[in-house]
Amino acid sequence: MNFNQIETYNKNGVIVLKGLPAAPGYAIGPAHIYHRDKIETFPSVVLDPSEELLNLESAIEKSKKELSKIISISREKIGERTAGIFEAHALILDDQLLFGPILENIKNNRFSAEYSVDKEFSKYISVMKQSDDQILLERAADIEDLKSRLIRNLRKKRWESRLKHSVIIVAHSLTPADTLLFSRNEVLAYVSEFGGITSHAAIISRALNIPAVVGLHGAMSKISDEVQLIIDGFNGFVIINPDEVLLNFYSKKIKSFSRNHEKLKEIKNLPAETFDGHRIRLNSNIELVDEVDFAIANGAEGIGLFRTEELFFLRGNFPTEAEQIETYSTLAEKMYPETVVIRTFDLGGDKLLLEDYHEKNPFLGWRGIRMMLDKSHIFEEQLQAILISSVHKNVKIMLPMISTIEEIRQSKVILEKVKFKLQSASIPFDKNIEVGIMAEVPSIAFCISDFAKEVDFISVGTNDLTQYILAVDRGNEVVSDKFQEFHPAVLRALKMIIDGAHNENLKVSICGELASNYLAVPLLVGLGFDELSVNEHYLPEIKKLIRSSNISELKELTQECLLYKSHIEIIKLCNKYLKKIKWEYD
Amino acid sequence: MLINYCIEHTELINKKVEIVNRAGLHTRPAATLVKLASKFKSDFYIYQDDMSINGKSIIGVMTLCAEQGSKLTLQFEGEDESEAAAEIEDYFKRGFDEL
Repeated sequence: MNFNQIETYNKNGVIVLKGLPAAPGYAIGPAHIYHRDKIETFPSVVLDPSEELLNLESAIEKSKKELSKIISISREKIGERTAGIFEAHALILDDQLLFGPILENIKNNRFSAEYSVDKEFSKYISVMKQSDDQILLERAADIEDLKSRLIRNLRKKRWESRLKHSVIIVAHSLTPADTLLFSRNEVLAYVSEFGGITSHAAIISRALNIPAVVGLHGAMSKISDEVQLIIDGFNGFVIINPDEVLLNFYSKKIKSFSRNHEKLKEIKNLPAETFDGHRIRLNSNIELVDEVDFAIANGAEGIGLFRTEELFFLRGNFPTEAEQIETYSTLAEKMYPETVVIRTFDLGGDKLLLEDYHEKNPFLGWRGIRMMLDKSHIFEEQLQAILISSVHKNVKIMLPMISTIEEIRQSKVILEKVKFKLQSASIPFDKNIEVGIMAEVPSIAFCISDFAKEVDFISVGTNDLTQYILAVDRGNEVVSDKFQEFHPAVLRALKMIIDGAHNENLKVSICGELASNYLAVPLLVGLGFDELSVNEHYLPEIKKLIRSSNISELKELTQECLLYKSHIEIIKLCNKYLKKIKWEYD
Repeated sequence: MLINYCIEHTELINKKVEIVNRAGLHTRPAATLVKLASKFKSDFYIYQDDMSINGKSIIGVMTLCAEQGSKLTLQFEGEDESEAAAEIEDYFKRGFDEL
């Protein structure tokens, strides 16, 4: 039994679904279907309007209490900004102008409170929904959420998120409020039909260390309440009604995962060094400042990639300069004296776009540095915030989606302008701050010696590099099997980039998903990457793998693979190698 | 536009303001604005294009789509209208303290 066999497993009535792995970890347990029920109300007349008014009053109080709980959890676990949104919800419950007509409707027309609430709230929701502004649409969803909360409390329904035993939550979609509330209970894992890896719920479950699989369309119709599930947050599998074989396989995985986790902690402070003394630097990719503590606990030597887009997603808009300074400085201080690489906003492509803007080919369109150079005031503000947080000289700047030399030069002109501004205002910053680029467009590989002369470091983003080299959109199910990260062309492009950068005495890092793939790690080290930057959850195991290897053998393996013509041969040889070195504890 | 005509021909205090902070009139300043307006006895309305909302209602203010650069008219009427107008106009001018 291995992971590759699971996807097509169809014995004994087992159903295997595959979604997007949003937060790593394994779980086995009963499903709990969570319906944020569509609330329907009818213009029913009540006998005693004064009693109905009291009902409304107590439902408002109850909703306020729930919200204040959510506010304190989000303040503690996520941050001030998310808490601010829920505070506005609480304020709406005090809105005299909103509740005036509701009270009138109950008193004078004897309508039920739930109908009156529904009617009045829906007026505002429909105004917001008429707009095509993304922020107003999201706000409409927020008000809808509040309306449901109030009506649920009017119906004196039990708070659904108060669960009795350990369960796997299965939902159509999860709001950040749901995710946070569930986290106070024994939740083993989350499964949702909608949402991507960058959805709020996914970000929150990663931060809370709860396995999650998202984007699993049709999950609600296939999974029934209480049915047994296995969740594989590493590979995105959701297994319904698992048989003995699968239960044994995953029970072992869970046991070894937690046992290994204990053992792996012992190597936390040891270097990622091969038997024969080749040292690699292991960094972590993070999205939330809170993840830094996890990363350090798992032995990260630095932050190889801080994705600033999350600031945008959590807020629904570009963060203010003050917010950015706060975030970047906290990050730099937490990691000091180790370094933090801050990547400037990488929006566009598959990531949420600004405004109401659609492109025929978003991946070949306005994204990453292209957007930032056009929105130079936002770019300047971000660079300024990064510079201000660089006072301890442990911050680096990384530019995404570079495809031409001019983009680097233009960015540097803007950076110099911001530096000059800060200097004139006597605001301290690191004058020698390093500037690097992501190598994710194939043009970089071909002209690496030119690009390398203009920057201080290179970091390879393998997801985009692979998709651009092979002309395959991995999100497109029809062609996703053509997305071959072990394709000989990808391997050779990596070699070109590394060799070219080393010729210019630059360090090369990899921050793409390939670096978190155990099968690829021997090749990446063999190819000569100086640093690997991975999700913090994979750090201990990757370190163990490196510490179980010899660089001479890895180089040999890589030489062999560079001669191969098919990715199948490459994968086979890598598998053989991993079996030989017996690096796993199992 | 009829509304503009009405705004210009009544004996109220009208203030034209522009949203200057980058994030616009988002949830946090909306909440602060409502709290601020509620301190005063005067009525407070916000006009945007052909829409008007009561500035003392958080849900009303949240239906506005006021981004950076949006132009709004603030209208005050009541015993403390000049104090209210001064304080609220100032809050807009300060870019909701996000500049």
